[in-house]
Amino acid sequence: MTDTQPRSPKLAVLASPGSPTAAAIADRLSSGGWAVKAISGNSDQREIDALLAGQDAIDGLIYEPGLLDGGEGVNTVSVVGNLLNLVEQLRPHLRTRAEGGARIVSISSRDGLGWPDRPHIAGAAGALVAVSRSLALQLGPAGVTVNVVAALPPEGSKLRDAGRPAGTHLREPKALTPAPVTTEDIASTTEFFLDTRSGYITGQVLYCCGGASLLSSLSV
Amino acid sequence: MGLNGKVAVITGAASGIGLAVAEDFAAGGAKVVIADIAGDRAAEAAERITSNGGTAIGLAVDVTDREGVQALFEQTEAELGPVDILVNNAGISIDRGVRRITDEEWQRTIAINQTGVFLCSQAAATSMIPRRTGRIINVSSRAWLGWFGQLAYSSSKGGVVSATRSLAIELAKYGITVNCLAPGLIDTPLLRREPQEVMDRLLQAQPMGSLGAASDVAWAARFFADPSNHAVTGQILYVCGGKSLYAQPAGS
Repeated sequence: MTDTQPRSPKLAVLASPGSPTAAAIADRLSSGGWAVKAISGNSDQREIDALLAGQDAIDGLIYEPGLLDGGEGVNTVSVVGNLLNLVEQLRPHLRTRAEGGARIVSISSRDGLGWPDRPHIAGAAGALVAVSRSLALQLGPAGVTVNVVAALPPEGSKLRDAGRPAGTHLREPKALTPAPVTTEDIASTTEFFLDTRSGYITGQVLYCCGGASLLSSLSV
Repeated sequence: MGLNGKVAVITGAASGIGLAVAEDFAAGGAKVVIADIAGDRAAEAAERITSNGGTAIGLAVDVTDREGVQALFEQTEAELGPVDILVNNAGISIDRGVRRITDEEWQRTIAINQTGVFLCSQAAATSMIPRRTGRIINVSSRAWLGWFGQLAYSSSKGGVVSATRSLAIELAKYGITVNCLAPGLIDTPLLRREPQEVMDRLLQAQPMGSLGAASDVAWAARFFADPSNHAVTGQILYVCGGKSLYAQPAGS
């Protein structure tokens, strides 16, 4: 018995300011046969047009705003606005429903469930989920799915060494499973949502966290 | 993806979503057990997979019966090896409003949909824990969020969601992940028998405007079953075309 699945879509646009997670996603997709075009998260129309010159339709858009790497510069308005701008700019290029549709995946953080010393990241992470679900409803009739990977800051992120938040007795969440969460784990979950066979899955959030999110009432 | 040589027990697998999962896993190289209350149909389905070059056996099981479930896992181990993947798919749906559902219908729904998950998961986990690896996938339903006339069904499927999360938390340290699929409207022969007006109403509640296929659910099951996928556990993944985002049908 052979595994006769359709070929993976070919062209993915990876929008990110640059991060270890984005690099892992690019590696994973490239080794899976995708052509990956990297752009910054806040590209203007001219950059987009130059990027897409001579390209076939876009099969996948990955929006990785860097929430898993921390930083005080995270701005919810920008995180949301950049995604909305990107989708508007890329929408005419997304593969049509008749051609099998397209996939959009946002990379968010489990911080969106709430974390005491990162409310700015939590706000952006939560907003990213809400925006992605809304885009799923908006783009569903066009055959475009929109899903979210909400991850635990992976091994190597400076947030993994953040320690105990000041003034609380809480500890940085960690995976319940034996192995730590890695950027490769986030990349493989992203690849799942991008697959042509995931076309009936939209507006969903998968926590890639080794179970670290399960005790939050918002995680179900 | 790497299911090659893995032993997968799939309950309620003689037809529908369970069969699609079994076929998909077999295509991926897994050795599958088609477990079903209808033993004859389970054997027939296994034969079809075997004749296509896959590895499958069909076994009769009543998932509400502890001894029967025990025998299922013993026979699986004897014939194919210890279970690596369990898909708790066996279930029934009785559409009955709150004023009409009977005690018997309620108890039967809970017994098959919820107690069946408990008994099979207990047997599988007992085998998986010493080996420090395993995958359990529960098939709940989008309807656990609630739907017209589905008090018993949605209650039982809500229990499956809670069971998934508790099992995931308890079994994580052993390297066993436990996840849940929540299918929405899936194109089946049974659904096609609905009158057009009912179909129209159901489709109006579909943000993507279409029905799903059993193979859509099977693909999601394969993601959760993959041995390399160790960081995703306790998740409820809706395979529903967006119905879980907004499901109010026109006119309701």
